[in-house]
This record gives sequence, C-alpha cells and structure tokens, in this order.
Amino acid sequence: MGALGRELRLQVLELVTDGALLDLDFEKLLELLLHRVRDLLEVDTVTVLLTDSSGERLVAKASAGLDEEVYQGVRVPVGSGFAGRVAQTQEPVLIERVDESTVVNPLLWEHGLRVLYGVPIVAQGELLGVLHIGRTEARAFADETVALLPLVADRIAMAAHLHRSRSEQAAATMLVDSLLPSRLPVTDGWDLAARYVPGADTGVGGDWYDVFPLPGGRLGVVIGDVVGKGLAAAIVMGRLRSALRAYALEFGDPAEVLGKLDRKASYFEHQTMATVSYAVIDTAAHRVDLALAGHLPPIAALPGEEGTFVPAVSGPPVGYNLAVTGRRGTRFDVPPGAVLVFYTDGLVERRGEDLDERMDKLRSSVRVGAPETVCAGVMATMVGTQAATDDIALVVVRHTA
Amino acid sequence: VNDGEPGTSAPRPDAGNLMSVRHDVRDGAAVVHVAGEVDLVTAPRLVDELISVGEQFAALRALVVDLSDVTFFASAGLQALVEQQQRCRDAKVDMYVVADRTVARTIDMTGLGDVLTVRASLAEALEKSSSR
Repeated sequence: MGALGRELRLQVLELVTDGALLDLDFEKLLELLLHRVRDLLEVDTVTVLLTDSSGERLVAKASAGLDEEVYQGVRVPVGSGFAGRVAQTQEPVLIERVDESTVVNPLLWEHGLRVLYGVPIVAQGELLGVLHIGRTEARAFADETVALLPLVADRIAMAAHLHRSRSEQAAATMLVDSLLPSRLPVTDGWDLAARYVPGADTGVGGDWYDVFPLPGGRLGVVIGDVVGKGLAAAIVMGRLRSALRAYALEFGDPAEVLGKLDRKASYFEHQTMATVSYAVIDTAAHRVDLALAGHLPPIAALPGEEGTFVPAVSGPPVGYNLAVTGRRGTRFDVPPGAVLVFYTDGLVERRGEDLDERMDKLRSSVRVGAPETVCAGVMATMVGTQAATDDIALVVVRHTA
Repeated sequence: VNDGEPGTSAPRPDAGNLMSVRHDVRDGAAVVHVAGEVDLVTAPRLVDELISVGEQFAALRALVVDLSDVTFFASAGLQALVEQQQRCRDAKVDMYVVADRTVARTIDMTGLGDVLTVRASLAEALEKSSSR
C-alpha cells in the first residue's frame, strides 16, 4: 500500500472510530458516514440497503448520490441481482459491467453507473444489509478501496444492530402496554387485581392477561404465555388475545373457545406455541367454567382455608393442532368470600428449584383478602428481592358479595 | 456437525456451558443426548441438532431424545420436542423422550403427556423402540 493508500486507510479508520457518531441517531449516522465515504473513496454513489422483517428482501435505506433509490423504496430479493448476491453469499461482489444481466435494479444503470462494489453488513453472524459503492466512469476501484469498505460496513452493522434491538424492545414494550388492560372491569360483587412484570433476562415477552365482561352477567378471565420473547412474541400474543376475545363473544364454553383459538393459531401462526387459561365466571350463579391449554391450574381459596389447586386437567398448548381428541373444561363453584389466582409459569419456574415445591409454596401463600393485597402477598413470597428471569403475569379475582 | 463417523456428531462446545447436545445412531435408532439448561437462549441449538437428525430419518426407525441430564427445561424446549414429534410423525419414525421425574412433570403439567411418549430411562426407550 503506497503513501496515498496509508493516508486513506488512516482517514477511513478515523471516520469509523469517530466518537461523534455515537451521539447521532441511526439515520443521521448513515447520512454522515455515506457522504464522507463518497468523498474519501472518490466514488459517485454510496448506498445502504437493509433487510426487511422477513429477512428475504433488501430495502434501500440511505444513499449518497443515489437518493432516488430510497425515495422510490427500492426492494431487492435476497439472492437475485447485485445486492441480492452480496446478501446471499455474505461475500463482497465486484461488478465491472453494469446492465440488465448483472443488476436487477434499473435505477443503477439508468443512473449511468459503470462499476459497482458491494459488501455485506453482518452483526453477530446475522445479515443486516448491504453497503455498495458505484462509479459512473469505467475506472476500477483501487485495492485499498476494496479493502477499506468492509470496515465501513462493520461500523454500520454495529449501529444497525443497536438500532434494531432498541427499536424492537421499545415497540414490544409499547405493544404489551397497549394490550394489557389499563383498567380492569368493575363488576358488582367481583373485585380484581393484576400484575405484569417483564423478565430480567427476556424483557417483555409473550405473557398476557385479559379480563372482559361478557353478555349475560358473565366475566371472561384470560391468562396466557406465548413461547418466545420480544417483539415477535408480543405480536403473536396480540393476535391470540384478539382472536380469543372474538371467539369468547361467539361461544359460551371455554373449552370450545380454546379449541377455536388452537385451530386459528395452528393454521395461521406457524411455529407458535402458547399456553392459555380461560375462565368464564357466571356472576349470578357463582360458578366458573374453566379450560386449560397447557397452562398451570389456578388456585382457589375459601375464607379460613389454605389455597388449593383447582382440579382441572390441562389439554395440550395452543398451536400445532395437538388437541386431536378435543378439549374439555371444568366447572366449579366460587362462593362469596372465595379468591381465585391465575398466573403464568414465570411466577413458579426457577432454575435449580423443584417445580412442585415452588407450586406448593405458591399454593400455600394464597389466602382470601382484597385482590391487591393477595397480589402483593403472592409477589412478595414468590419473587421477593430476586428478579425473575422470565416474565410474570398474575390475576386475582375475589367474590365479595 | 459430523466428526467423520456417519450419523454421529461431536458434543458441541458451549461458551456458557449451559447446554450441550449431541447425537449418535445405533441399530437404526438415533439418540439425542441433551444436558444442562434448555431455555429460550439455548433451545435453538437443540432445534438445529433435531433438524440435522431429521435429515437422516430415511435410515432411522426410531428417535430417542434423552433429557436425563437436563437440569432446567423451559417451554422453548417443549416447543422443540413438539416440532420434532411432528417431523417424526410425517416420516413415520417413532419418537421417545427420556425424562426424569422433574422434566416429565413439566411435560405433564403442560398437557403434553398424551402428545409425547415419555420413558423413565434410555434403556427402556431403546427396548420399546426395538420391540416395535
């Protein structure tokens, strides 16, 4: 590498290690990086395409010199054309003849580009996008240009990864916040309280609870857990929650509602598994119909007595069409003064601790009382001062009248 | 994945040592040995191993997933088993899960006792698989 090459190398290194980039949001960082790279490497265009949520397409995200790509929302399938090939092979691609046979996107040759060089943007082994440079004159890229562009791609990968995980986390949190009831329904003779705590390791995940009045003086109480975490689990959770509400209006029997939910999830949500407990409280008859899909049984407590597990047999979880022999429900009475406790496995499962012992600890911690007090007591006993790794949902119902 | 001997994979080194998974094949039965903690973080490696075993289904009669040395088994692990169960059903391969009381309890509580075929020991699972 000659003196000019060394000088260029130094300049590119300074650019990608510039602390000022840390203060910029992702869009500004891209804009600044791309324009500086265009000047330093003496090229006409510098463009970043990022993978979409499917991971199957690249979408033009930012450009210096080829802004129309971004404005027109250019999309390239991974595997086809120039950028698609860089993405698929995760290797640099150099094109010294730009035409329909080498490039899918007509904007590139319409813009008069003659030579193109693209490198993958990869973070932790995962493809995030493609960075490419182009020239309108048929002058080959210098060796140092070819060697230095991956450094810029790595800097963009770092920023894109951070941006993606932060946005996902924020979106998941907002979604869960918007889907969990901000206020529980008020029903004469039935008091309610609930808790939701994101996991220390998993953040917000697939846990949810839902309480809604149903026609005929009934009250629906749902608690569930989608396997997975983050935005993906929260999105599936949102769909299951809505579907369950819709079926709850149409069908009175919780076992039938879970059967319909299972069918919907198995058909539309591939590779989704969720546990769900759905109870319908008949507030006049003081009676509960309950169905469990892979979910831990609720606890019932009567005045002056320790809590007991509701003797309900759980069917398989929702998803994968597992309930081949149908789903069955359980009916039990909830006399005045009784308390019901619904929860997700995050409350009881702990590494290195026996599940049955934890379940028993939970059961014996349940006493009749105001739902808020019961919630607080259960959380104090089961979580205490040690954050749970998985998320936790808890719903307490008391029959007061 | 393969260390040279057909149908056998080397134990995978694991940075956190939280879970290890490997498989071997004897008499037409593949045995996947899993040890340690199976959770959201480690389950994808179990899934990869199960998929790679699935690629050899044509030469297999049975698959045993041995969870005897598993110390923690979260729902992500259950989902991996359910998916493999479905692959086995499609390929007409019998699948057995070997689980001690703790893991068997988790499977039972999740309503998967009728979906998965659980055996208490590897010997028992292999015996059942060869008598079929």
